[in-house]
Amino acid sequence: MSDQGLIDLDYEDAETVDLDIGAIVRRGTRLRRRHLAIKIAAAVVVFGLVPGAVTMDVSHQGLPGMLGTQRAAVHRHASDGHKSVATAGPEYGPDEAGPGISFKFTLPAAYGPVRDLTGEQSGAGAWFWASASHVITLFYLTPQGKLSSWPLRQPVVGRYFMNDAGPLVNGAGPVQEATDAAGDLWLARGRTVELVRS
Amino acid sequence: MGNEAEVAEFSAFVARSQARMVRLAELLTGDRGRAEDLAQHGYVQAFAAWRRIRDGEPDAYVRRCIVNANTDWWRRRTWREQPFAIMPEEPAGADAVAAFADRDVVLRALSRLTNRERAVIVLRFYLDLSEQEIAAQLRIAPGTVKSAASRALAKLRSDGALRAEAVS
Repeated sequence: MSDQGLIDLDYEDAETVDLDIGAIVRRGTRLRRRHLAIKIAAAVVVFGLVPGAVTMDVSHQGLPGMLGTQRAAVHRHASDGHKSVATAGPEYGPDEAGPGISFKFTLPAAYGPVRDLTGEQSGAGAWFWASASHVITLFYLTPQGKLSSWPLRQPVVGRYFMNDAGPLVNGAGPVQEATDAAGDLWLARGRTVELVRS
Repeated sequence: MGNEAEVAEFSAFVARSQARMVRLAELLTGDRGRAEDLAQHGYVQAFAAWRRIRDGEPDAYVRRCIVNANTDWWRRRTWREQPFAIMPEEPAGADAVAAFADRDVVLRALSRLTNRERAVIVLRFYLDLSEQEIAAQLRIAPGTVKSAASRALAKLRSDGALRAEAVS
């Protein structure tokens, strides 16, 4: 492409250009509002349909030597974007922590029993499920007391958790056990998860 | 920045760049009325994004909007494309007549190209974009840019009116 001299695109223009700036600003303002509305709508859709992760610290003292009551829990409804933090009643106090139990956490009463307790295979921590009235939630609990939760909508897989002995429930029986990659033993009974370190 | 200050800043930008933008759109479309519509469309998009682009390259943003809008337009209507008929408006004097004549020759020559060839020539020789940049802008392969430019230049070389204008 070396024919710049063939055609002069910078020809003189006898016509003056006078665009309507007022109309441009008005239409641009409307376009801005439309973009904003689209962003808001997209955010509503995303937060309404996609399960979000919620993380909170449920430890009060931190490890080591974490003995005592751990009663906080997270309850988040993915369907309407509502998030609330609930605290369970004083079901487990320091005097109830048995020997060797270094951490104890109880889900609030709105939840059913802990399901499918599984040790983290690449580090320290435990995974488990629990169902509330409208959501089932995947939880991840670390030995430091960090609790992460991923609420899922009930119709997707929730029916498996509505009954006590669904097909995905591995930890049948009154106590579930799991060991993580760090060698810690996790126990679950009802709505309570315990970390046991010898 | 308050709204009034923002509008004043944007208005100053439009005032100093609108002639170039309308020229670009006119070269792309061959039609003055549609060129002004395209330029206005580019400025509307620019005002909507003004807070984001004002410290960058707002000229480039408007140019992109004009080129993309034109590309979208001719992609949609290629099947019923008609050659442009460029007729100068009432001239006011001898200088204006000469100016219209120059413009008429150029736009007539460009109107004999296909939309893609015209866009490639304008982006290359008016905006001085590279083949890669043109390919990205028009969403075609660099090889297609090269072949379109080659065909367009061959057509322009054989354009009698343009050759006469070039040697006069």
